[in-house]
Amino acid sequence: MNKLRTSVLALVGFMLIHAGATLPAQDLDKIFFRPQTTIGGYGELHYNSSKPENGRNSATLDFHRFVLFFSHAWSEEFAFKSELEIEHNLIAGGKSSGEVELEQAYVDYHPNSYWGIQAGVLLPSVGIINEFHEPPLFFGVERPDYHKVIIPTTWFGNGAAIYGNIVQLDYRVVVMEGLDGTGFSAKEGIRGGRLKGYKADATHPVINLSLSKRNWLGMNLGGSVTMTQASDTLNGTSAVNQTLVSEFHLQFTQSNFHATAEMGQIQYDRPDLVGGVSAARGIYVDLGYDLAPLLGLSGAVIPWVRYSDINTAAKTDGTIPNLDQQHRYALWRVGLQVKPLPDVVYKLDFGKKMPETGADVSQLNLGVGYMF
Amino acid sequence: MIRYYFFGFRFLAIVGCLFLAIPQVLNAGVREEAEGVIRDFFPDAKSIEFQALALQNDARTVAEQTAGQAFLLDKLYYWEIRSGESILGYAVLDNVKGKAHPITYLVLFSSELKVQRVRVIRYREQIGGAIQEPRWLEQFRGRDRHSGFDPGRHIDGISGATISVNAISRGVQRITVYLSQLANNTVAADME
Repeated sequence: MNKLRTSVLALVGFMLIHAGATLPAQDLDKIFFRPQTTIGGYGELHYNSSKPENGRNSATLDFHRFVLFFSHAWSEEFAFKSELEIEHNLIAGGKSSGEVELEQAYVDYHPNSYWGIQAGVLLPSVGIINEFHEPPLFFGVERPDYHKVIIPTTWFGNGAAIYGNIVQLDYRVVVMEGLDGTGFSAKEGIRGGRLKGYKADATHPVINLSLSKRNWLGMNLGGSVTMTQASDTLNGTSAVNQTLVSEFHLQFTQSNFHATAEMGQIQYDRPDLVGGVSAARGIYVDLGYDLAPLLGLSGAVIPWVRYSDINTAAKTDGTIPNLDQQHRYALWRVGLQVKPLPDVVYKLDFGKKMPETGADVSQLNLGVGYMF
Repeated sequence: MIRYYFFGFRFLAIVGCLFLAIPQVLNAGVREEAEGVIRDFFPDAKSIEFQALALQNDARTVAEQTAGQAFLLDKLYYWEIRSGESILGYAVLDNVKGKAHPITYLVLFSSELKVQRVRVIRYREQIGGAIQEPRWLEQFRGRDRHSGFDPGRHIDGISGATISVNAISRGVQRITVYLSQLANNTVAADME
């Protein structure tokens, strides 16, 4: 204790010697914030192997995503943020090629924590993964099936948003380009209707309202509703399909235990425009436990398990018999997530997709992902 | 179904104008805010003396290696809090890198260089703001250079705020080790 006191007194003496370096108070704000451009990114390589009970096996190696973030802050209030993505390595044109996507590019005005406004290419706040989709942030090599057919992740488009934090609740209101109703399907919900910012329809915008509470008893709770009148054509006449996506999500991280649960549904008021489907529903639950502390390792070693139950034709208008059974499947998946660093992840998972009608499919995935 | 066409772009424009009309909360400078936190924690302080000190290379290397995080600023922005002759504690204002913006935070130390309080002075990101909550920051209290600071193991994580949690945890460790190292180096130099 005496030694410590001596040390501290010596520290004080040492600092007094250097007191010549004192700065005027008003300069501190300029030191702690300087206009700057930042670069970030993420990417992921996947090995996907699929073995149907009947039929041919398949295996692919795919550098699924290569993404660069470019941001610039002009001041504490005004910033630009962007996310530019190459999917599947090669862009050669045509349907079988990869894609270049500008998933985010917006000017952000954020005067204080209560509110801010964004305009440009945005991601609506729908579920956990749509806005925060870097590979180290979710379990599994591929994003959960729920985030393909119930929530069409990554869902992005041109628009504007108001957001902020009031009474420790995060809120966000997004108004963005509409959806193309002709792309809706019984198999993949509204996924095919995304316009991805390409000369997008502004006559029938998408409205997305979300609320979330972060770090409440170790939990992140949130929900959203997203509405639109998707334009469509039927028998040569124009029609609109009122579409509502509602979802609730929960994430829990405490004492090496990780849990995620999401549930959501899509409702259409014109099932005749979606092959007889009036609602799609899905749910998944992830449970994981970080073994690294027990094993005396640094980083994270997380075995996890996922159960999904998805039906993209949960409610139908009855015109097609057994449509709801044809589009229902359950999915079990177990995996291992190894993170030597918080931003680098190695992934392995094995799953079994069990359609209510038809043969089971086994899947094995390996992956590596990073973010910075 | 909610009749959504009551909303639309017009709705957003109206709400935006309302927000703009609300007088903005005027932010005090970072120094004023930091000194407010210091006075609140050390009500008996007779003097708080601010200095900007050049970083010492040896101590800097040890601190950066231990915490696994580099200093963003090239000086130590430091207060010494006194009540007459006796030292009550120290405070350091520092930046860490958030997702796109720096996070400015203040660490208060006892005279024995144990962390007493951590406060986020400026959080500039859209998300991950839960690290500002005093309840979460309370877990740094009592930690010193020998303590663990690993997020997920020694420091509770926050879902949806991974980058900020990691940045602040490493930052507090880096500042704690740096100050302790500075004290040790000075003692060693005096003994020679």
